[in-house]
Amino acid sequence: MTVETILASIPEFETSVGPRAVPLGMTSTRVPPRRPRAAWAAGLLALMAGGLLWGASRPAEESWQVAVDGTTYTVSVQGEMVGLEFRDGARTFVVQGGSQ
Amino acid sequence: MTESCLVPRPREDTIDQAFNELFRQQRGRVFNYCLRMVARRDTAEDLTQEVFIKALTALSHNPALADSPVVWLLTVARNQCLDHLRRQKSWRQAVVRIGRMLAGQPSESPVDQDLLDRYEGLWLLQQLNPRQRSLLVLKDCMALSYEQIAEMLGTTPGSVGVMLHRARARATRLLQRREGA
Repeated sequence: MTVETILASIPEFETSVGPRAVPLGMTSTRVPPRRPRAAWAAGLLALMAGGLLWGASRPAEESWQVAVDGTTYTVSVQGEMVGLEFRDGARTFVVQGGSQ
Repeated sequence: MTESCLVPRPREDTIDQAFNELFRQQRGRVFNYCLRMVARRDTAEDLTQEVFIKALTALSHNPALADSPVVWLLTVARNQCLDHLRRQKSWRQAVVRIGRMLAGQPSESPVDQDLLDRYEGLWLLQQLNPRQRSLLVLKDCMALSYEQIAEMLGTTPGSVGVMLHRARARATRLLQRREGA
């Protein structure tokens, strides 16, 4: 079979994407939801580093939230363990580290 | 000042109507383009939504775009997909993967392996670089003309022919290598 035949044989897939997902009826003020990009990763790294340093010196349990470029990060410290939780769209990421 | 003061009502209605029609007619085409590019259904659906959000914004500035939407929408879809594939390789994604590994979470594959196993054409497309992949999808899967693809890429039909020849030659070598393995 040729490349053309193989590619043409890929079927048409149905999609469940519907108008509900696109904000209809708001033509004049649409601001597309943008995912934070560079600042997202920079914020993550800064908070991880800061959290680790700070957490190491603070044995008590504590948590706080910081918003960076539209993403809210929750940093928690318990003893020498540091946790970082944040959401990207519908997904939640949890990062934990430290020493016990 | 309220919204209704900024945009006259009849114009907004017209744009919404044009958009609804555009969405109804073209969402399947845009989705199938994106799916062939990224080989993941959920990612393709996200990208399709982003394409239509951009389309809606563009339509509000230039309603005439709805008159010949195929090339225009696929150009937006192509840019969205190339951006997405570029981001996948970025250090940002590496940070996410490290974060997930630290958290003991399974790493999400960027492609749907079941789809690749089931459809040889999808597997083949994923072996090509994103620009060659896009070219073959537009020509061999979506049957766009050389002129339409040239308009999308801002080049000549002759150049499209040369690029297509190279892409097909590479795809043929990949197929031969796979069959020989």
